[in-house]
Amino acid sequence: MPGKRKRAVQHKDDSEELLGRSNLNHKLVPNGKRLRRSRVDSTASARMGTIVDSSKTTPEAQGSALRESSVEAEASNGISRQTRRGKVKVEIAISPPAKRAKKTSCPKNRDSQSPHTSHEAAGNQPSLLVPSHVDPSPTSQTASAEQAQWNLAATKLGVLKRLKHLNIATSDSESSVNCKAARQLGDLIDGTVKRGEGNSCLLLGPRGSGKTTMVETCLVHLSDNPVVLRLSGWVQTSDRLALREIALQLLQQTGSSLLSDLNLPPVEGGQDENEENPFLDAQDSRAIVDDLHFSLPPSSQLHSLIPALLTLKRPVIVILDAFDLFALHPRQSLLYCLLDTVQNCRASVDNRGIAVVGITSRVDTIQLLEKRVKSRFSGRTIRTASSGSFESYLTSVQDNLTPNTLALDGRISEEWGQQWASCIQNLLAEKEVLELLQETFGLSRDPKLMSRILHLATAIEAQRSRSLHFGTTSKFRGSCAFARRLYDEFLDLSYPATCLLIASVHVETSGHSTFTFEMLSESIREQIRSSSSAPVQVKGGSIGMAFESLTAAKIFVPLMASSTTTPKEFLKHRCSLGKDIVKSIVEKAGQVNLRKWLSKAS
Amino acid sequence: MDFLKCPVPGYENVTVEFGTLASTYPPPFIYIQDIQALRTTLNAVDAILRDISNSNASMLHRSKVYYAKADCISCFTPRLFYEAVINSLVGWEPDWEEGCSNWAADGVVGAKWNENMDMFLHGLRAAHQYLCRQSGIGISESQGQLRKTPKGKGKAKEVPEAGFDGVRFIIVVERVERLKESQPEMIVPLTRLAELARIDLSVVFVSQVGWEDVKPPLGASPDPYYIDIHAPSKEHIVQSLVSNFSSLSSSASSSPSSSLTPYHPALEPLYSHFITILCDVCFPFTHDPAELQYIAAARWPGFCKPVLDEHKKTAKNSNLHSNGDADVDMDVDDGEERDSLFDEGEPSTTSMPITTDVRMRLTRLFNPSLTQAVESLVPRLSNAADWAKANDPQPNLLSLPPGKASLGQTHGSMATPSDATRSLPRMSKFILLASYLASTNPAKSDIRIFGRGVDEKKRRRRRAVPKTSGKTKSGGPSKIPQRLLGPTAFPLDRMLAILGALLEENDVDSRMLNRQFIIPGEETDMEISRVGVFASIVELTSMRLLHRASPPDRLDGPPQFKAAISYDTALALARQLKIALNDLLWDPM
Repeated sequence: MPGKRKRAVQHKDDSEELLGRSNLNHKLVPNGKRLRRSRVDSTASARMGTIVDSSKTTPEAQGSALRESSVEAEASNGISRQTRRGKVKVEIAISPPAKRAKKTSCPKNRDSQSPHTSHEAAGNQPSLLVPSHVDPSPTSQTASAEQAQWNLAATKLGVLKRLKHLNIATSDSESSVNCKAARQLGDLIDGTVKRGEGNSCLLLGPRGSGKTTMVETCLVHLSDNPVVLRLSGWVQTSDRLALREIALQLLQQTGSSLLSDLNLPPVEGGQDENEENPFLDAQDSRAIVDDLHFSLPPSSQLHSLIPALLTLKRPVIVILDAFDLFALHPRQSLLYCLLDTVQNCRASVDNRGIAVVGITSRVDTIQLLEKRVKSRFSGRTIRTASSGSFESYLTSVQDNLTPNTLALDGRISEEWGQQWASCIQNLLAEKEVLELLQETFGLSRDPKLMSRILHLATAIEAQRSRSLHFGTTSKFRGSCAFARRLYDEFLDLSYPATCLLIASVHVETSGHSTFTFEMLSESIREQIRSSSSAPVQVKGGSIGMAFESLTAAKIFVPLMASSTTTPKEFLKHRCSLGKDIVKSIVEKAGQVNLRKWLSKAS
Repeated sequence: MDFLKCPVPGYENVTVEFGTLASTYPPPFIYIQDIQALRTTLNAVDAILRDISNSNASMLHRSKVYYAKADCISCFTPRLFYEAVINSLVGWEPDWEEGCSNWAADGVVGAKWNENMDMFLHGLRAAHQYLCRQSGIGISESQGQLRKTPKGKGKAKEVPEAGFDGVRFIIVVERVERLKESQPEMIVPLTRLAELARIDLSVVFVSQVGWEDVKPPLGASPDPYYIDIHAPSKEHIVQSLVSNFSSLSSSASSSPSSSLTPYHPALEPLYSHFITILCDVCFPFTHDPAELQYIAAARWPGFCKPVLDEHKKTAKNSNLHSNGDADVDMDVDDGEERDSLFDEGEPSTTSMPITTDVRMRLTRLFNPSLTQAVESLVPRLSNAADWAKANDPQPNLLSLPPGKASLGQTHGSMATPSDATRSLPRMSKFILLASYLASTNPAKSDIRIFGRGVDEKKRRRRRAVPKTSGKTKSGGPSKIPQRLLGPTAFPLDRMLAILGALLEENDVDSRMLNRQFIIPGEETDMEISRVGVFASIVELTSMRLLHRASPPDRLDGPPQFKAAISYDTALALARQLKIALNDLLWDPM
C-alpha cells in the first residue's frame, strides 16, 4: 500500500512536470531552491490535491478528500480500494490508467530529468490514452477510459461553449433589474412592431451587464420581420459614415434603396419592382450595393434618407451602440434626424413604426444631447445592472461550469453529468475558492472577468492534464490571479537587462525620477569596476541592445520623443517596473553579485 | 488537442492552451504578449493556426478555421490592413496581370471592401458566406444563424460527424503597438470585431508590450483573454537550434557546390556540441533565439573548419597511400574522399572521427571569440558573413602544436570614435572641443576654468566631489554630471570665447611670430573672428557634429548650438591636440 501510494505521487509529479503550466503557481512554492523551476512547480502542485482523484471515491469521501493536507493519501486510497474491489465505475478512471500507462512506457524519465526526454514524453502524450494492463479488467477498462475521455472532452466543450456565450440572465430571479428592463424593452419594441408606434429609449448599464444581449434576445422573439439597422459609435465615427451604413443595411435587408428612388429618375422599372418585393435574393441586392457605391450622393441628400424610413413597408428598429459617441458628432444631426422621425411617426394604419434604441454605459449621456435633440427624445431610460448579490454570482458561476451536456449529445451518461455537477458543487463550497470568488466579485462584477477566470481554470487545465484538474484550489487561485492580472510577471531577463534594471532602481533611490542611458551605463561600469566580477562588457553593444529591447517592451518608457538634436543615449526614460518586481527578477536570476548590488545602498 | 504538435520546443503549454481555444470556442479577443522572443512566438502561433486550419473535423473541432495574419508594420494604413486580412482569409493572391484586384464575392465586380471599417465588416461577412458555401455549409443555414440566434442559442442540431458545422475566422494582428502609433482609431473596432461583424470570429493581438500600453482610453475596448509567453529556457533554445540543423544541411546539400559544406549531416553531433557551448556563453547576454541562431550561423563555419581541414588532409594521405598517384586533381579528390568517408558508415554519426580531445581543443580555442561575436553581431555592427570572414581560423589549426594554435586577434569591424574626426582640420578640432566643453560645463564655471589673471597662471578648479553621491548634505538628490545628461545648448559667443581661451593656451606657440600684435591675446582674438572659423562651424553643423539648437531664421541674439560628439570622441580629439581634457571639465571623470 505505501509503495503504491508513493508511485501514485510520483506519477502525478511526472505528468505535472510534463504538462503543468510552468509559471502560474510559481508563488506557491513554499521554500523553493529554484534550481529547476519545473521541478519545484511539480512538487508544489503535487502537494495540492485534485478533485479528480477524489471523484473516484464515493461522493461522501469527496468532501474529505478536498482537504488539502490529506488529499494525496485519500486519492491513492481511493484508487487502490477500487481496484481491490474490482468495481470500476465508467466515469472515474481517466488519469490513473493514463498514468500507469506512462509509467510502463517511459519509466526512466523521472530520473534522467533532462529536458529532452521530458519533451519527448510530452510528444508521446496521445499514447497515454491507451489504458494499461495493470487494471484487473483490461477490456472494460479500455472502453471505460475511452468513454471517460470522451465524456470529459464533451464536458469541457460544453463549458467552453457556455463560457463563450456567457449567460448571466438565467440565474436572475424574476424581480431583478435586468428582468424588469427586458420586459420594458420588449414592450417598447412590441409597440413599435405591432402597433406602429414611434419609440425611442436609452439602454443604460455598466459594461458587461447584458445590454446588447438583451436587445438581441428581444429581436429574436419578435414574430414580425422588422428592418433592423445596427450602428456602432465605434465604427461610424461620422454622420456620413453612419448614413452610408444605413443605406447599405437597408439595401441588404429590403433589397431596395430608398435613396435611389429619391435621387434617380424612376426610369428603371426594376427599382420599383424591388420596392414592391422586399425579399430579393442576395445576388441582386448586392448588385445594387455596387450601384449605390458608384453613385453615392452628397451628404446633404443622404440626410433625406432618414425621414424616408417611415415609408418602408416594414417596421424599423435602429440600434445605436455606443450612443454617447453619436452625441459627440458635430451638431448631432444624425440623432436629430432619427429622433425627429420617431416623433413624426403617427400611429396609423399605413404607417409602420420606428424604434430607436441607444445603448451606452455612460451615465450622463442625456445631458450630452443638445436641447433640440433632447426635446425630441422620449427620455425613457432602461437600466440594466450586473448581478446584484454574491449568491446570484455564485449561481451563475456554477451554472456556467455545469453545461447541459445532454443537449450537446446524447452519448453522455446521466451519471457523468451528476458526478460532474457534484464535483463543481464541492469545489465551489470550498472556503478558499469562495473567498477568491468573493474577492473578485468585490472588485468587478463584470461577467467577462469571471468568464476569463473560468476559461483559464477549466478548459485549459482540464485539457492539459487530461483530468479535471481545474478543481484544484491552487489552480483556481492561479488562474484567478492571472485573469485579474495580479501576478507580477517573473520576467526571465538577460544579464545586461537585469543590470540595467538594477541601475535604474539605484538611480531612482538616489532621488532622480528619470534617467538616461548614459547614467545607467556609467553606474554599471562603476559597479563592474568595484566588484570586478560581472561578465558584461560595457564597451560593446550588449547593454545598449538590452536597453533597446527593454525600451521596445515598454519596460523603460521614454519621456519624450526622440529628436534629431538629442542623441538616443541622452533621452530621458522612466522605468515602469517597481522596485519589488525588479527584486523578484533579480532573485530569480539567482546571481549573488547582482543581488548584492541591488541591496547595496546607493 | 491531440492533433496539434508543438511547433517550437518550450511552447507546449501555449500550444495546448491556444490550440484548444482556437479549435473549440475561442474568446472573441485574445491578447498574446511576449517580451523577449516575439519572432519565435509569431512563428509558433502561425504554425498552430496552420495545423488547426488544415486538420479535419472532430468532436472537439467543429468549425473549419480560416486565419489571416496582418503585420502592423507592413499594414501601415487601414486600407492595407483590410486588404491583407480579407485576401488572406479567402486565399486570394492579387495578380499583376489582372490589375492586382482584390478578392470580390462571386458575381460582384468592384466591391470595395477596403474603403473603411464598415465596408470591411461587410467584406468579412461576404467572405464568411463565400467560405461557408465553399466548405459545403449552406448559406441559408449560416444566414439564419446570423439573423436569428442570439449568439449560438438553439444551435444544437445534429450534424454528421465528418463535416464541419461552420466557418470560423481567426485574425492575428501582429505587433499591435505599431497599430497604436499609426492608426489608433483602428484598435477599438478591431477588439470588438466579433460583435460588430456578428460572425464566428476571434481576433488575436500579438505584441511585445502589454495590453495596458495599447489599451484605448475610457474602457472602450473589452478586456482580452490574456496569454503570456515566457522566455524560452536555455535548454529549449538549444533544442530548437539543434533541430534546425537538418533543414540547414538539406538546403546546403541541395545547392550545386556541395563539396564539403559545414552543414554536412555527419557534423550534426559536433554541431549540437557547438550549440551547447554557444548557448552557455551567449545565453546570458540575449535570450532571443533568433539572435543566437544568427551568432551560430556566423561562427559555425569557422568552428568546424579545422575539423574539415583535418579530414581533408587525412583523406588525401590515405588516398596517396592507396593509389600512389600524386597527380589527382584536388577537386575530384575532394568529391571522392567525401563519398568514401562520409557515406561509408551510413548512420553517419560515427563516420566523423571527432574525439573528445578535439572537441575540448575546439572549445578552448573558440570560446573567447564567441563573446566577441556577441559584441559585434547582436548590435549588428557587422554582419554574419563579414564577421565569419574576418574571424576565419588559420588553416589546419588542429595539426598545429597546442601552444601555437590560436585564433589570433578577433576582429569586430567596429568603427572607432576618432575615425570620423581624424581628417578634420586643426581649427575644426578646436571648435569641436570648445563646443563640447561649452555643452558640458555650466556657464558660470567658465570664468573659473578658463579665466586667467595677469599674474596667476593657476586655474581654480572645483574641488573634487566625493564619489559616493547619494544625497547631498541638504537632503536633495545629488547633481548628475552634465556629461551623463546630455549636451546643453550654448550661444555661439560663449563657444567662441572658450575657443579663444583654448587657442591662447595651446596654439599660440605654434604660430609664427607676428610683430603686428602687441597686446597678449590680440592675435588669438583675430584668429577666432576670422570668416574661416564661422565657415567651419557651418560645415561642422552640416556634418552633424554640431547641432543648431535655435531656428535658422531667428535674428535676435546669437545662434544656439549643441555639441553632438560623445565623450570618447572629445577625449580622442583632445589627445590629438595634446590638451588635457579632464582638467577643463567641471565634472571630471
